Amino acid sequence: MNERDLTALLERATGDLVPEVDRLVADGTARGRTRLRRRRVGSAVAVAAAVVVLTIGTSLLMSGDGGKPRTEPGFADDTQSVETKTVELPRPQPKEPDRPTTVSAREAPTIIGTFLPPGPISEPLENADFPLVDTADERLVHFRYDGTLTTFTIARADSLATCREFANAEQANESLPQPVCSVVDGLEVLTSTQDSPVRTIGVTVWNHGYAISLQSYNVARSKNPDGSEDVPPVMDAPAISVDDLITIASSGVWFEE
Amino acid sequence: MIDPVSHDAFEEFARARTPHLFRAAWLLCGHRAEAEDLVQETLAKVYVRMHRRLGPALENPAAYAQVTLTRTFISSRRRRSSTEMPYADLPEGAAADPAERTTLRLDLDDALTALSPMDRAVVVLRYLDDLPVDEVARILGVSPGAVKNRSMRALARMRERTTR
Repeated sequence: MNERDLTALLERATGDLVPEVDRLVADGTARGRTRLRRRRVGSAVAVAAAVVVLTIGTSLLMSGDGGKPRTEPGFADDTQSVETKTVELPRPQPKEPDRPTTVSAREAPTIIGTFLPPGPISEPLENADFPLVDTADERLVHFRYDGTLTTFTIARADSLATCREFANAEQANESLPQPVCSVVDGLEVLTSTQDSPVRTIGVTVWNHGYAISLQSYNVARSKNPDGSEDVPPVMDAPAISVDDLITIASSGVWFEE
Repeated sequence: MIDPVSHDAFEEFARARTPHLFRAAWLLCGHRAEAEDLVQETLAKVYVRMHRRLGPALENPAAYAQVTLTRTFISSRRRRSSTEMPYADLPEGAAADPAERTTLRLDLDDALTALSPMDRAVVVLRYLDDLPVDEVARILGVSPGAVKNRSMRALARMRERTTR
């Protein structure tokens, strides 16, 4: 079998497959509508209840400085959903990592891309502003998704404050909203957003003795080439939604099962 | 470009693309029910993307849908990969497909189940959708060299299974 044979085989084998178009389109549309409605309702609830809060996200995790983000954070856009969750208890977590991480920092952008709507994903950024860390206990990588800056980290949880400690910590800047610690599918999730000088959404998930953090911005870089920090936004809101950030950070794909 | 708030435009697009998406999904999943679910999930994501208030409008919804289908498949397989292996035998349900050319499809499915999800995706994108290597590499987030290697490997394995 050569390449031409394979193409012909695929066409012959599937050419007469007849899907139930009406049902598939109706069900797919219904799923899409439900998802869209949930996002919009979630946004309204979040704004009304002031549930939208500030991220400490990745930079805090990595710097451990108790509240000073290394890069500029921001408020969530009103189209980003921050849904209120039913109160539930988190699953017990080990005090130390109970399994190794299996994805290198360099591989992480590609893996993250498979969870997201199609969009260009850059190679890992690696320079003085965006260091790349790739050890067994700590992974840090910055890259661009859909032209916007994205930061991913995995760090040992026993070297950090807990989710609730982060959420209750006094903010260095009182104008910044407080991060929120919630439980999603049995895992503790810290959610935070900032609006100025750039917009960013960050989530950190505690799982298997690690803190997995993902932060999405609406800018391409943290500062301009001349060193100034009034970076022009690439889009109105961070490119990755809160729901997607949580899904990615909660995934088991980062660990050896 | 599609009007971001037009339901009719989405439905028209979905009806036109669903047959092709279903063919690709069937080759990826090897199972009618899973293929239908993958198509519905893809349509849902395209619906949300088309109705997004912010950001640029979708220039090429067909390409977007194809990429979404492939990535959704790979992502779902990755989440389940710790408990699943490629089938040594035919998956349950494939034999229930009542359409014509069942034997050919069963043979093909048998050959495809020997491949990893990523290799299946390469086969579908390269040989069903007829996309160039660079485009497949971009969609899957791997290098063009990796796509070529996976193509050759997949072809060899399928040849081995279909000539038994």
